[in-house]
Amino acid sequence: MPGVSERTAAMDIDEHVRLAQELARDLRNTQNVRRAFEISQRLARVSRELEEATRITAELAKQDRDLRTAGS
Amino acid sequence: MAGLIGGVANVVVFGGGFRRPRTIEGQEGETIYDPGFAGTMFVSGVAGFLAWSYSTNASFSDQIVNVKPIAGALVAGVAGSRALAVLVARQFGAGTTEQAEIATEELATTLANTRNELNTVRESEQSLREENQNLRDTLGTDDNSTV
Repeated sequence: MPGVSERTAAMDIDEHVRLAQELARDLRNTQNVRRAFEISQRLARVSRELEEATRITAELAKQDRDLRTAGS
Repeated sequence: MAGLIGGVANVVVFGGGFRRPRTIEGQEGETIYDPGFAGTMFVSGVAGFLAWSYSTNASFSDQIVNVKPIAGALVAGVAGSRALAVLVARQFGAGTTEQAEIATEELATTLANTRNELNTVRESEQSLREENQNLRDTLGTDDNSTV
């Protein structure tokens, strides 16, 4: 029965292919998660900088108005 | 066959018994045919067949008795429509990997937008500083700015 061992071997290969695909998918997931983590850290930092810059700009705008009022 | 056997279990466990096929009236008066347990078993049979075909090098001439695909088909049969939804999503839907990629790209776009906004605000800040200094020079006031 040559067909039996061939089919068994084919099934083993299928199983290995499936496992390899799962590993590749897991790897891509891990890379995505790592990238998402790095981006979220950068986003948090930039958001803090934006908040601070917005606060300073609002303060400067107020000073600008005060100076114009004083000059008029 | 394993799917159908699983379907029987599905009917008993999740369907609460063998419900007879019947005709019911819908909300808008339309007639709806409810296949009852036969419909559940049909879905379970399809789910079982698909689970079996994806878990083995499916060939009807294959004479090897492999327990794993049969067990998989049985489980899919018990799960019925839920297993069918998973199998369809796996074949045609966006998987978790693709969803993670999309989410990461959206996060990256948000970061780029936030950076652009930060640059704009910093430009405004610089411009206001220069304007304030000019006004102070004109008015002859000291720089007592706290920012």
